[in-house]
Amino acid sequence: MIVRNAAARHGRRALASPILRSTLRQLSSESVPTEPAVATPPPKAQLPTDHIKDNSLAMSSKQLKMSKAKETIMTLGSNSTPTHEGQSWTRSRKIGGSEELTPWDQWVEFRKIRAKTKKLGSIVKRQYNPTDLINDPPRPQDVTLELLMASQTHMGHHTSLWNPGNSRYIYGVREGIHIISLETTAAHLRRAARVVEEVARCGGLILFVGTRKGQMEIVTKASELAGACHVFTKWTPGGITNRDAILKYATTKVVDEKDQPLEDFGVFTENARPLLPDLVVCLNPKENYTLLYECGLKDIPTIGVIDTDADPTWVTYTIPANDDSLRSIGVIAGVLGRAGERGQELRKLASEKKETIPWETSPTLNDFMAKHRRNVQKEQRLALSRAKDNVVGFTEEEQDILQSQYARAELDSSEAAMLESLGETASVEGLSEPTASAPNLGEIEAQLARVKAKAGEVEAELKGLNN
Amino acid sequence: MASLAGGLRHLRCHGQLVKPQWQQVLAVRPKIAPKMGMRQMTVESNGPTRSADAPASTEPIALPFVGVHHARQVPTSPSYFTREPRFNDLYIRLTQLLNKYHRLPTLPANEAPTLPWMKVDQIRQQLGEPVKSSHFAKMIRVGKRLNLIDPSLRPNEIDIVLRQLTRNIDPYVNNIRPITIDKFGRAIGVGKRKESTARAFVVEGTGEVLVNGKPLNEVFGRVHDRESALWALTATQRMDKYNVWALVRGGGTTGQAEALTLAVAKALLVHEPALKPALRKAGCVTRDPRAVERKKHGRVKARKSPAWVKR
Repeated sequence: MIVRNAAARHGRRALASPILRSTLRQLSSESVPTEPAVATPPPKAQLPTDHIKDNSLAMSSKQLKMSKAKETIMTLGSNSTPTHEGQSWTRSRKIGGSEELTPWDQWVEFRKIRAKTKKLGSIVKRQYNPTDLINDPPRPQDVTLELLMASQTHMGHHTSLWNPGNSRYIYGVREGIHIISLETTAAHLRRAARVVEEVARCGGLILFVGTRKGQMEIVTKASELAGACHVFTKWTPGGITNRDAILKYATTKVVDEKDQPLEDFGVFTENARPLLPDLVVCLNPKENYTLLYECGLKDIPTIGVIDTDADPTWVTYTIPANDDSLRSIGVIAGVLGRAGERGQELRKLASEKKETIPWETSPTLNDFMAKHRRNVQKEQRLALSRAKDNVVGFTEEEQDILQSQYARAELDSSEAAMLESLGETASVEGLSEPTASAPNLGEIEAQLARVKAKAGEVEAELKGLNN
Repeated sequence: MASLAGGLRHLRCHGQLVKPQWQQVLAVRPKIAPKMGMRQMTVESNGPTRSADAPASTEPIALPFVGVHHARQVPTSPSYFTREPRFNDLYIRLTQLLNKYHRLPTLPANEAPTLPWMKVDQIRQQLGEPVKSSHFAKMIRVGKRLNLIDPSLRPNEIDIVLRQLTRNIDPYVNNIRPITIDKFGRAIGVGKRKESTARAFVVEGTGEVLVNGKPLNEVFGRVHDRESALWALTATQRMDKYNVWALVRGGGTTGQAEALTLAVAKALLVHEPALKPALRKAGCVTRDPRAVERKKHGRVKARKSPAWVKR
């Protein structure tokens, strides 16, 4: 070891090590004396975090990497942004001379400051934000060759892996890979968007399928926009051709033209066969041959993203594009989802304006409704005839028979009670006659005598007047 | 007659075979019990049938589907075509919540509130779907990340969703009952090793030992086993201060002896808690989790591969 070189060696390494963010900030910004929050260091991490760090040191680097990979959650929607973790965020503490701030207060304060300072400094006009693909996917009219190129839709596979069926979509070869023609991609994407829009407008059931790692959010977002279904795990083989067994317990409902659920269809939804999709959008056809084959058997149209190594004859409407990049798939699925959204809007508009509804009730549903109606009408007629019978009434003989048959039990049970009540009334009469009615009779006789006397007087007067 | 019965039995079993196993476990819907000992009114049995009932009601029967011109059947869930629709819906909801709230401050993992997370079997039972354990692990990971969000800042909707991922028990109530010395001066320790289970009743005494009612040298032929059975006492030099009366069941001699070690050590710790470091050093406190490894297919034993001959 040469001692005189040591400084140069270690000094370089020391310089090369990344500068702490806090020191960078201190260097770049002036310290404000009125805000001692910057000056006071956040409370030193106590036992728990140190403990974790010690543990992690004990693990090998490979183990560490694996455990980290296990802990991280791969989502397009949340992976790219910084997190606020650590005790400075979750412990209540004093900042400057103020009173103690709870985590809630700190968070509110942070948001206030962020809202104030967000628009300071330079603004990058165009930047790629992966979460935008989820939060605000592009519309069909936003599809430009620039967008497609920026999203790597033009990158095919190694030339040796190609499927010659795709030769008409291929623009050329560059650095050993096929380049897909962007014009074709755009044209096919627009056509597919039209298909999705029209199917959605006609109330068809669309199914978005993307079973590769990381496609879950893309697929669910597209299906949410288009009011469609999604599959982001392995397609269950037989989901279409053997649907009576596979989708036996999947539930359905019946809705009207305004998508309001209708009642009285419980019997129907329980007994009807499981549904078939009217359109299948497959983002990775290579892994979903079974699904596409089933669709072919049942004459279900399919839309598929066809890379240069995929077979374009597997799907009805091809979209020649790169299917290995999440960004490319995100753009394509987003456009199709937006197209579906537009179709749903058009359908709702049509139902609100009471125009001709762009879809018809299925014959099975019509049959069910007609049959149910007929049954109820029959019941009504029966009820009506019964009511008539009641009005006419039974003859006396019939009523006697009815009473003897149905009312006997009642009579039997009440005999004892009747006897008792009869006995009671008799005893009450026997008691009341001598006591209560005797004075009454005397009074009445006296009154009668008085009335007679009065009548005699009146007669005498009348005689006197006449004379 | 016997053949007829056989045929009938076959019919009876048929339904069970066709139905998926997991459906049977879940689909016991609890009937609403009558309150306050009131007589339950049964509608369908022992009364007039509906058609006979109809004329009694004065209301006219309404015609169904009045004003329904258009009707179409749609799935209730967007995960209709998947094998586990309810589970997928829950998972999507969780990821949506994470995307919405991932910026809220999070606690370190060891400070997050303890939750009794669901097990795969429980979620299978609850949802009635054949949930894959890998999918479940993914979902639980998202749930645990949501649980890291500071409770004072956590929105209510996260709590509501997390409740679906947790069991309905209070984790703080479930405490270990400490062993105590009973009125006879006994401390009872339980130890296990391999397939064996040992219960040791340890009292203060003069060093007498009875295992299954027999002296030690009758139970364990090997000197090593005898030593390891009482290793907790010999290692701490308490051999002449305690009597042990033990019951051992299951397994072989080694397992029984080492199960005894653990049982005696646990009981001894009740008498003298200060001995714990010494006992731990002697290797008497920790339960040895090793057990027979299962045999795998394509192998002769757990790991032994079949003999390979070139040709």
